Amino acid sequence: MNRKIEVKKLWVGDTRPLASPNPEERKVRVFEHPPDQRDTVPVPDGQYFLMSEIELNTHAGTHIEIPYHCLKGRKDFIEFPLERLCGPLVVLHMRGLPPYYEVSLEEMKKACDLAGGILRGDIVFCDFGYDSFFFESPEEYMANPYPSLKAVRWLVESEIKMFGVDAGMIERPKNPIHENHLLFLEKDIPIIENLANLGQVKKDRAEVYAFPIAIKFAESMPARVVAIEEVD
Amino acid sequence: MGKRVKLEFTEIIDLSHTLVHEQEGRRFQVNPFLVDFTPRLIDVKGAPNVRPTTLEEANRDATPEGYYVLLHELAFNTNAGTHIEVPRHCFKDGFDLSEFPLENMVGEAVILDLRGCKPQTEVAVHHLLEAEEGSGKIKSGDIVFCMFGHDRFYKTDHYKRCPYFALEAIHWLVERGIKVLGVDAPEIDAPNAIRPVNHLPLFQANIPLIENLKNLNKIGVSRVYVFILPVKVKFLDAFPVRVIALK
Repeated sequence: MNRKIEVKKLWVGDTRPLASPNPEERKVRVFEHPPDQRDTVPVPDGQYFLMSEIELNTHAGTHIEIPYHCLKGRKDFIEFPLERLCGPLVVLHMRGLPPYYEVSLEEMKKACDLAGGILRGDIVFCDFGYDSFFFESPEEYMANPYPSLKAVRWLVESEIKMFGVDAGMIERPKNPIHENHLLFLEKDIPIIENLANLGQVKKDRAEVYAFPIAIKFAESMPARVVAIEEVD
Repeated sequence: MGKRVKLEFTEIIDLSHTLVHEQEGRRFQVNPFLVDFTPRLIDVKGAPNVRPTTLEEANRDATPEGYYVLLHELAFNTNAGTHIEVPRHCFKDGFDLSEFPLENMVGEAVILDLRGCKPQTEVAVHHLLEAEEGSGKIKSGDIVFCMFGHDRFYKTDHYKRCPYFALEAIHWLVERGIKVLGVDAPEIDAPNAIRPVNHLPLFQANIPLIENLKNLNKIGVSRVYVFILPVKVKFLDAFPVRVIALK
């Protein structure tokens, strides 16, 4: 192994707990099974032996969407290469934008320049500063900024590896079809929605790892997304 | 151009089993839905229509007329497939998945080669000591994966007849200061255990347990950098997890 693991790391960019501003769409329910037969013997105070079940939508919480979400016959999470779910991270800090603001091509390019430029294979996350609304104010959360079609086309042409936002959507509101999704997914670029803590990424560059559980036929999965940056 | 963090690995090894609809023994359902946006192609106020579908329809190449997006509703037992258990599994005040410290999910794992242990026999401290001679000493803060080679029996009747740990062996691992224990077997307790006695010392020491690992034999070295990134669910005690080694 050639990785320098002794290097001190700072851990940032953790995903948010699963829960939802919109319970109808994003069901997360936890059950406790009846105790299993082992619990027929007395159990000490404070202990149990849980069996739990969960029901959830594949788009609950922080989740990764892959091409099969919008494009039939494409790769599911079994087939989607793990190499495409990790890599160098560029965070575009774009806070303070008004609700429903469309980020133009020029603004996207400027944000990339401020972050030191993007290269082929980079993972690009937009920090709109919206994650604090996720639990506190679902209405404000739904009014997030989004990239324009031209900005997305430019990111796709720049051959980024993955795109993510700390917001629930990347589309123009009321767009009849998911044009931005289709541009990314057509080129096998996964999309992560509902990221959190992007403001904690202080360096221009970090690494991101996003490995969702391997379910056959899954087109999207909640995932723990982590970023790692080196400490000076 | 800003300085890029260099990812220094040449191989990614998946240490997790694939999860398949209705094929996990325990409840595991992957129910597809098509969200039909076709009405919105005619009128932007047209409401999308959500309807259940079949895996065959969702996967066929000939797209029906209109514009659809695929979603799934999942319903599953959290002990399905390769999964992690955290202290909440046995202790009411133990930490849950959302509280599992991030620092403990990533780091160096030691692979203990215990392939000499027979099915349904006890793994004693001396087995661990012998394995440690091959892998090098376990250090405080290591993740420890025990390789029985038992993953080859996954989803067969033989799978549940795995080796299991002596309580002293679990205490020995805890005293070494490990941060996560993983096994390529479905259980660490003896088949006749009345309580999950081997789980308890681990969880008391805040050490999560991963069951049903696979491919440990494909790592080929005794130390490897691993990522264990379970979904962050409040109140939950266990969850399927993708375990990844970078070599």
